[in-house]
Amino acid sequence: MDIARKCPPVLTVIVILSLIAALSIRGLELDLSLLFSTDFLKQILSYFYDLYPPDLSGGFLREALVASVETLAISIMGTFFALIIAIVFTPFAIRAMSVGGGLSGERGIKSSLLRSAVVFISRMILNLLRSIPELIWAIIFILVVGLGPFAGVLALALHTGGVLGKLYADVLENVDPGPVESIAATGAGRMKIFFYGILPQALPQCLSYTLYRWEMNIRGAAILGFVGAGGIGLLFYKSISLFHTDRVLTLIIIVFIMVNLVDNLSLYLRKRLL
Amino acid sequence: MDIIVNNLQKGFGGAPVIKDVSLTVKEGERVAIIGPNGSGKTTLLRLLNLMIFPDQGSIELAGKKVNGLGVKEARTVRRGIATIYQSHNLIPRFKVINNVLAGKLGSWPTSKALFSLLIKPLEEAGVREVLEKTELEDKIYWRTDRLSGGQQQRVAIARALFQNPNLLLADEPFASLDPRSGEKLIRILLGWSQQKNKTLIVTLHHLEFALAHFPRIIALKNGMVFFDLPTGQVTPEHLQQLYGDSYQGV
Repeated sequence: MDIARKCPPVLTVIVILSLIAALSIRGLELDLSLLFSTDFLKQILSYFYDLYPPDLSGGFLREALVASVETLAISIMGTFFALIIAIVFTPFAIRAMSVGGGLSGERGIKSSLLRSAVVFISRMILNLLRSIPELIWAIIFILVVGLGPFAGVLALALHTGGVLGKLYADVLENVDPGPVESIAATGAGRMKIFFYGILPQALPQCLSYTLYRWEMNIRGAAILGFVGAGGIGLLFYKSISLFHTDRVLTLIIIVFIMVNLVDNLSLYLRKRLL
Repeated sequence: MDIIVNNLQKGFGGAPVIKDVSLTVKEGERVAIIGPNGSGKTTLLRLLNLMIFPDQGSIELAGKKVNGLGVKEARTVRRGIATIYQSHNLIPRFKVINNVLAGKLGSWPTSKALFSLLIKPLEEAGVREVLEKTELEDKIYWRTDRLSGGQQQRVAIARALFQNPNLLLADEPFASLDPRSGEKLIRILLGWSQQKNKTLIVTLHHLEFALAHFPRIIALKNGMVFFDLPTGQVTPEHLQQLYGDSYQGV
């Protein structure tokens, strides 16, 4: 009975998902046949053909490299501040750890109401941070702190902070309760329970999520320049607007290499740390 | 630690799991608790180590009433009670030494606990001493998840001994081990209790273990004490009645 409720039959899920997909295609007035027309293929190919050869002149290459390092720095700082935001909010967003939660050992209706309120507000703040895309945050921060990489860092930090906060909270809430109880049974207080019982179980997954979000932020940071928030995106924007197609190819290659390097580094770190 | 339990009742929303349990255990006693699945053995242990509190009735540990204690006081009492679980409940990623040190968390200040975890494990000599008893001294710096199931249960026992409790509770500690390993581990627990004159209460699935090693057997059935007898007085008829048709004889 319980299992049946938790796992709806595969067939039902497939039918519902196909229905949603069909409605979406209709609603968006997508013409999928375009994808398979020869015209479409020709256009795409000719666009890429026009990009070749890339602009490898020293001056532009240097400019592009400096910008890509800036993009990398924006993604690192953005993820770092996101981590801090998540660490600050996560404890309040978890029922067991929040004010008056099970780990504090307090009982009674008053503390349970307070806890529900604190958890709700913390989750709402995280949701708000997360539901606003980086690009919108970037535009807001450009108005506040001006053009440049700082706006980009803040934009990534707030959006990613909301994402990581939610992910951390989910991971921490789902750790195996056995070790947690065994630590609590020694008479440990909630800080010690957290560091010896909960965090060590959750850490690998939290690290993995953080590295994955960093990978995503590299790509995010490359776009932020379009609205003036620093990094390689600004060069993209200029090159595309001025029809410097050879430069666009150079930039694509640089971003491709950079994203791959970061992906591999992150994969390596995850393997080492987990 | 003397234990006096009176008319204990505990439920989790539905029908009470512990309906009416009264019992007295003297300091240094070694008691096996037996009973069919769902008879309330685990719940009784969790009431005794103050992880949950009774709906009705009272628990006295070492002459002090402990139900209704505040958060801080309950923690203080828990320091003197060590618990061993069926599924050892260790942190797989920790080194063995850190899992054993966790036994002392109740009496360590948070700063000390963090230093020991993040910088350098403390009290290595004490950990070696308990690991010697469980024959794992050579694995002190191994990652716990590299050990076998039986070895991990021995780490859990070492953690409980390292806590240096006045009362040791064990909840079906050998259920997932082969009988020979179980035999070895139960001797460690019994030896500890005898040597230090400390109370040992073990819930057991293996009737043979209970009858062979413990001087006193308490049987639970449907949340009540079914019998509470010196082992010599437990008869096959008792066990037949306790387990019903599933009883195969010992």
